[in-house]
Amino acid sequence: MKEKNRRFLPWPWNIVVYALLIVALRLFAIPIILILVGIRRKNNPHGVSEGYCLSRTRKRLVWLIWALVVLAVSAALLWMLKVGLGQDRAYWETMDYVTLAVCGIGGPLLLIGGLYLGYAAVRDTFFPEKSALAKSIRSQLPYPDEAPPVAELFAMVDNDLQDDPLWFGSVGIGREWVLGDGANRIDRIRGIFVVDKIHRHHTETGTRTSRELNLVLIDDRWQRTVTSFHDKRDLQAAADCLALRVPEARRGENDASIDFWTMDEEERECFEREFRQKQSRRAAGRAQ
Amino acid sequence: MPAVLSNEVKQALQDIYYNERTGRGKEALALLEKASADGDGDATCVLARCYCGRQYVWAGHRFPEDDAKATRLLRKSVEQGSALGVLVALRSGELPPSVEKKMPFASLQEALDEALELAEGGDAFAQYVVANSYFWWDFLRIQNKGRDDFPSHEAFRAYLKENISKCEDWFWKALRGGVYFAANNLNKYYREGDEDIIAPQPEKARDLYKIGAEAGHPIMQAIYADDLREAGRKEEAAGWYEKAAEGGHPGAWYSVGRCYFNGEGVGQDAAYAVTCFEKELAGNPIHEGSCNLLGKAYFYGEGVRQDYDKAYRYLSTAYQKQNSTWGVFYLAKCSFNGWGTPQDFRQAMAYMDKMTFQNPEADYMRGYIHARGLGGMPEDIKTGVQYLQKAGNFDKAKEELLRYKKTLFGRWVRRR
Repeated sequence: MKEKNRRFLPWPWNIVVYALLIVALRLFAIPIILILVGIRRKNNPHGVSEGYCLSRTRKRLVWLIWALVVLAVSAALLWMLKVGLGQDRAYWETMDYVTLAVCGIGGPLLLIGGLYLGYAAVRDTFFPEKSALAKSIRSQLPYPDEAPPVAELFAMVDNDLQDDPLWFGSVGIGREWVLGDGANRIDRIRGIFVVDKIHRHHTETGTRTSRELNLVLIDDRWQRTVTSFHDKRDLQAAADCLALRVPEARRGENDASIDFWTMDEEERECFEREFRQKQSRRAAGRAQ
Repeated sequence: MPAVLSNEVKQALQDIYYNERTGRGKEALALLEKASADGDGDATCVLARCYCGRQYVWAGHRFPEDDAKATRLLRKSVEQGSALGVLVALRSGELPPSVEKKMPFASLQEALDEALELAEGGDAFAQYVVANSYFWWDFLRIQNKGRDDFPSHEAFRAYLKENISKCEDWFWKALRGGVYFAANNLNKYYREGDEDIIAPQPEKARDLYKIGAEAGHPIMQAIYADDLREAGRKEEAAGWYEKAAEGGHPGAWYSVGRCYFNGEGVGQDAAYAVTCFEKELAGNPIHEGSCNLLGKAYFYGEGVRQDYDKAYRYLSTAYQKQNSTWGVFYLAKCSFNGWGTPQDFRQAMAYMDKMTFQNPEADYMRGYIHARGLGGMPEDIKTGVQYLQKAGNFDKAKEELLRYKKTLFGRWVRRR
């Protein structure tokens, strides 16, 4: 196959250009940015040019926008709290006290949340060695404390994914590694769970629904990795693929992941023993 | 002077026919060459048969096959005055009038009489040649008889029956004397009879090969073992195959190896089977069955350390030199995966096209190649998916199938 000359804005110029567009065009910049993002996705699928892991962790920069939103809401609540505290409360009704309480509790909480989101976004984007993804890869190594530098860690996963990977949405499955919101070594996987839940929120203006589509992987150290999906078919296909790779792993849906994750020590040992027995039998069968 | 065979011919017949397992075939051939050059017509006749191929002489001697030389020698034996040569040439269609004129016998009957004298003297080869003259109706030309020489059809049939049936006794004598080929003709005589003149007597054919086998003829041991195997008596078959192999019968080490490889009548022992196949290949480096099973042994590491290089080499030898398609599935896997040969999807497809059976893994490989457009084929996801679906529960196919998804419009596309 002929390799096409694929053009896209490399990091960090894409961010610079998006920022300049917003400054120059304000809201009108949004469609242009969406087009540029689309081109980048098409011509640089899953961030192959800079490395899958680095690209994945840089995407956390989007959290900065959420952090700003949360901080703005927090500021509004704190301002309302300040105004409320300064008012004469002689004629206050119960609802006014409730509002004051919500502002008093919610404001600081959102402030902490916003600051954390901002911190995580900056940490993952600009300090990949401290990112959640790097931590997740380290946690899969035999001796996490003696893990190599982040460049090597990421290269380990990237190289694996460059060799004929399977992509299901944003989840890549290589020969040894799965890269989702975190990373998992395939041979360490013990539980594969599909979470497909619809949440309904009843508000004064009506009922809002949201759908939770997650792939939950639990490894032999009983660490849990959750990756979100947009498409149920991709989620199911990713789970099926992993189940083919690790047929001995426990499969389940929704709350089964919690039951599995919260097994006590004795049950875990029993499961692990059974897992290894089945794996040995399969290996023996394959050898015949 | 009574007809006798020379000592050289007697010795050669011992080594070539009566006691062939001694492995002195080459010496016997040299002896015959020399005697023939010295003018011994019988030696020339026996020598001619040595060049006629496995239908006339045991393949275990590994004599070269040379029809032209055999023809030349047969005619020479006629000229040299060998009665046996005359009858063998007649049987082989190598006695045209021009050659017949050169024989020092007054008639073909005189040649037959001399051969009969040798046969009655106890020589098994002569007994076999005489028996053939009756069995194949050569007596008609020898005695210059035909239907018109008899007053009625019945009289002619009676004449035929009387002469044809003479072969039975001579074949038995030849067989007991050591000419194992006699068993083949006797077998035909008993099983099929002869037109409507001699009725079949299959019950008499039952132990023919057993007799030959017990007499120690490797080829009879191999044939008898085949019969036993077919009858389900695999344990006995394995024993006879082993005897035939030790006697040097070509193909027998393969049969022994096959028994041990598959555990037919013996305990499964792949390592011993491999040594058997190697022994077979030492005699015939392109033996089809041995190349195939040895290739399989190396492919799976059964009885030997897994070695795809050797697996591919043996299997492709059988494929290329013997047109054997037995191992094409393994060859396809080697080419597909680059095991023992550079990865070549086009070649893998070519091998799979020769397959005569369905296999889920082959469907997986076909699907993989079509869907990805490998080996110079255009990318055809639809066909690829069809093959992958056909592969059913084959894990790799299920995984490969996950690379593709169906759009709302029913078109299969690659996941991105």
